Amino acid sequence: MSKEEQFVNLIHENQGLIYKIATIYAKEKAEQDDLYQEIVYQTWKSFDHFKKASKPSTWLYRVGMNTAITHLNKSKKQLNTLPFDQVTIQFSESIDSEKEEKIQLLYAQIRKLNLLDRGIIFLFLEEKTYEEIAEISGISVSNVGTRMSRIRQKLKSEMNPKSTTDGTR
Amino acid sequence: MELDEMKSLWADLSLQVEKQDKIQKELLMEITKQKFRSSLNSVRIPEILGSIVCAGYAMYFLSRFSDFEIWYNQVFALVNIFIMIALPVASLTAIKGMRSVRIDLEAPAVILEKFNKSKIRFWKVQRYGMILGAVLLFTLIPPLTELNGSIEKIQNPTFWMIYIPSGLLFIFLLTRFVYKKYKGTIEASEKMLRQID
Repeated sequence: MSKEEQFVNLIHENQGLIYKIATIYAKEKAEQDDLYQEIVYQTWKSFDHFKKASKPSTWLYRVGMNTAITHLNKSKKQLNTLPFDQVTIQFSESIDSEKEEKIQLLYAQIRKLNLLDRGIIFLFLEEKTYEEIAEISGISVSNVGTRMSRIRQKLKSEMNPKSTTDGTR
Repeated sequence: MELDEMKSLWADLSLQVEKQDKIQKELLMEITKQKFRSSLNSVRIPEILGSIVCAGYAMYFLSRFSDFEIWYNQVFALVNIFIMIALPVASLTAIKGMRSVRIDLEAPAVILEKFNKSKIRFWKVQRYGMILGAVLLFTLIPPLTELNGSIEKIQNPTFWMIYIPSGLLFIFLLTRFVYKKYKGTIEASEKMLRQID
């Protein structure tokens, strides 16, 4: 299999992952498309390292998160999206409106976190263990724990301010 | 919403994402190639052009240095040569630092730290760059006037009576503007660095 074929297969199999990274790091659809394309491009640029990586899944999470961090830091307002009609995954089936509303609320709250914490909660939601989160994000396991409890508090208070003021769960 | 509920919501979302139509494989490679071309097109042309202009001026002053008869024009020319060489070098080095982060080899926490440090350095260079640019504008006219053969203009006291106050006022206003403009950006990057610790 050629390098191009391997790359295309990797991206094709992980489009959902890239889509989710683009969505938690960028708010507007145009920004998400731009970030999505940038992650695809950066993955291609460093694809030779992927082939040597001991843990390919860790590698892709890292490239995705690192691209989001550097891309958003570099050019917050300069979009460089290419004019393709369908560059991100399109939802063909509708999700029920209540669930959709909750998902949008979840995204909105995650986007309020700082860039590193956004990545940590994303990995947590992706069912990664604290050890895996530490390995991917480059911080210690105990730091992951500390950050997670801080994020938990923050999300809880922002998504349900009444319950925290009442002291209820 | 508790984390467990978030997790279950996220799992639903992941399932939905996986079910959706994926981008055609051919299109993926096309996106990559187009992005590669567009990133080549956006190579810092303004920065390179600016550096060429600065280097050209520095060379011009160096080659005509022996033509300066007035002592302060020799000093101004030296200041100009220094700024026109140092400024592009500092600016290009800072940009290179910001771009040299390896997103495929390092962890996000490390990338974030390196990137923000480079960014702070870059904005500081930009800040001092603009101030030095104002000094450059102020010190450029007298030596150029002498080289153009209009030496009598700069030997007239009226010229200096207008030139010095207006030049100093210009530098003061620009410096104040630049400090205000970049203060927020540098502070935001420093805050981000503190959050990583």
